[in-house]
This record gives sequence, structure tokens and C-alpha cells, in this order.
Amino acid sequence: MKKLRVTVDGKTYEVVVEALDEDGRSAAATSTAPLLQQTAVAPPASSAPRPAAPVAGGSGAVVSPLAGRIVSVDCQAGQKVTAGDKVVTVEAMKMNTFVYAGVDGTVAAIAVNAGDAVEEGQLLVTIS
Amino acid sequence: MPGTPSKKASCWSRFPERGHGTTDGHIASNAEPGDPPVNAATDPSDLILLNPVGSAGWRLFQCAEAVSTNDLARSLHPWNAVRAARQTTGRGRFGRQFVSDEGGLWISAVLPATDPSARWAGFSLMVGCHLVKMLEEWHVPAARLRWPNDLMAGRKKLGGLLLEQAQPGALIVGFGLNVSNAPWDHDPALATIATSLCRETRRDWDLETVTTRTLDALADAHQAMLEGGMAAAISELNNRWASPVPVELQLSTGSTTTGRLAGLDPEGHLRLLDAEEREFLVEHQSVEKLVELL
Repeated sequence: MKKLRVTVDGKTYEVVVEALDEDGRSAAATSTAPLLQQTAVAPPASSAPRPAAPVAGGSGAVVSPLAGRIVSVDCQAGQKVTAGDKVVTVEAMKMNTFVYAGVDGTVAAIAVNAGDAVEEGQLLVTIS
Repeated sequence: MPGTPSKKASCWSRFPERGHGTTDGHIASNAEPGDPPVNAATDPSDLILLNPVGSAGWRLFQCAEAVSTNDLARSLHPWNAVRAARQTTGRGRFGRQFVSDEGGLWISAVLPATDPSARWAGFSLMVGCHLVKMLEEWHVPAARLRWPNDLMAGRKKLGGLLLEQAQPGALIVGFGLNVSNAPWDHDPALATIATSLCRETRRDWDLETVTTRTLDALADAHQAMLEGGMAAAISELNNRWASPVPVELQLSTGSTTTGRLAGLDPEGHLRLLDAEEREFLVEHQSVEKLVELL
């Protein structure tokens, strides 16, 4: 991976990029390496408030309600959960937000680890 | 160990909302500020209710000792707060423990937050900004913020914040401030990195006065967030950091980057200056740790 500094619309960002092969896989792939990591993005300039990320209301997909970092994953794959159980804790600028299961079911997949940076709306946990 | 928080707000009905009367026999409604707390709280029912505090009419509960005031606050309605004389397992960011000895202000306050979580993402910075203004009123030398919102007097830490959005519709603001306590007596390593309000202002402070002003500051921050949000406050917030300070950012990717921290932009990105004074931005969620290179 290489760290670059890019300028978009007059704003400069630091990003970490990884070379990909033709199939979109990492050219120096390991089984756990993400395809792309970035330390900064170039969001479109907008003064309008962003719509809230869909919290899992009735869906098995539990997504992050805001951009931040994973403090803890509070469930395990295969665990039975009920709607309202805390499954993930996300931190943003020293504010911890608890994320809850929106449905009853079984934790089918966990998409994040403690310490991961996440975006608003990013999938955290899948409940089947 | 902290008690297990309830999944839903099932304990809220036990405590009065702002402006309502007292509730059950576990609450002593006639206690005065300064009365010694008599119970070590392991459950919200152990809390003692004081008379309304501050201009916003906060209802303040207190106890002699708590595992964590944030854990107790999860059972409270908005505009209620809980203060402990000591915390046994006070929490900082990412669960790091800190010393909470007697003489400091260890308090958690609940504020209404009916908007979606993302709407409140920068609120911790807003709170930090208003608390620094409070320190400036009290003539704390070199009062400032350190990313993300440590309260500093120069290079030494006075206090810290941890906010939780544990229940829909409510935010918990956990705040710890060294007032007359001496945490370095418990941990000598703190002597060079921590300070107290009494030390910095060279005078005694009444804990009730500090509590009341703190709760007023939280109410002001809440109102400012509702009125204009972070974008409206970004200039004032950026005035509360030290003048561009050299920092090293340890990123979640495992890499590091250095520069001088110049503040935030309206989207919440950290603004840094490189050696050639060119500005570049870093997403806040990518920053695992910020180290000041003073």
C-alpha cells in the first residue's frame, strides 16, 4: 500500500491506496487485506444536512448511524438476538453510540472489528 | 464492574422528569447541596435527589461512590444528572480507566436528542467548547481543548468528556474535572500530565458552584447545537484549540502522519498544515490517536 496526498476541488486529502489487479483484487492479496483503505475522502461540498443513515428498523442489516470507529462488537456470530439487543458500539469524537438489532434472529455475519473506521450507513452486522 | 445496562428505558419511570415531583421512597427529596451522600450507589435506587440546580432546572442526584456515573445515568430522564464523590471504574475513551478520587467533579448528565445519531456527531466538541469558555471565565491560564475534547491548562489535563447515545432520544454527557482532588497522589505518573482547578487558579472551589456552572454550560451547548449545529460554531470551536500545535496522528490503517493541527472544517475533518504550510484534511474516524509534539 502507498500513502498519497491528493487534491480534489481545491481540498487536499491524505489517502492510503492499494494496487489492484484486473479483477479488482489486491495485487498483493492476503486473505484479510481490504481492497482499499483511505484516511480521507473528498465529500461533495454541501451545506444541506445529510439524511440519517437507515437504522435497522425491521431489516436484518444493521448499519452504522454515523461515521466513526468501532469501539466494540457486542455480539457473536451464531448468537441469537432480539430486537433492541446492543450489537455494536461506534465512537465518533468521544461520543459512543450504541447500535441495536432491529429484528429478532441469529447473527449471521459480522462485518467489522474493534478499531475499524466506518462510514455512516456502512454494514456492521447481518441478522438472519 | 459496571452493572448491565437495561436494553430499553425500563427504569426511567422510576425517576421524575424535569419539573415533576419526586417519586418513590428511595429518593430523599429534601437533601440540600453539601449534605453528605450516604449511599454507595450500585443501582439507580441508591441515588439521593438534590434540589433543582442551575438555570435549566437540572435535577441532580448524588451518591458517595459509583462504579460509573454514565452507567447510572442510563436510567435517568433528560435534564437529570448524577454526581458521585468517587468513581471506582471511571471510563474514558475506548474503555480506558482514569482516577476519580474525592474532590473532583464526576458527573453524568442526560440531555434530550430526538434527532438521528448523525445529527449529534459533533456534539462532544460543542460541549468541550462551552466548558473551555467556563474555564476561561474562571481565569484558568492557557485553558484550551486537546483533540478530541480533553480540557487542558497548557500542557496538563484538567478534565475529560465521554458522551454516550445509549437510548433513542437521549444523550449522556459524562464529565470528569479535577477540582480540589490530587490524582497524582494515587498515581505519581500523573504529576507531570494532570492538574486541577484549585492548582491552576490558586484558590479553593466549592463543588456545588462548579457543578451548577457545569450543568449550565451543558445546557448552553445543547441549545447551541439545536440552533445552528457544528457548522455555526466551527469558528468559535477552532479558537479553543491551541494555536497550530505540532501533532502526530496514528491512523487506523497503521500508518502515521504529522503536521500542525489547525482545527476542523465544517464537515468535521481535521485540518492540518504540512511543513510547507499547505493544508490537508484527515477524517476524524481514521484517527486512532493524536499525540501532541510539544
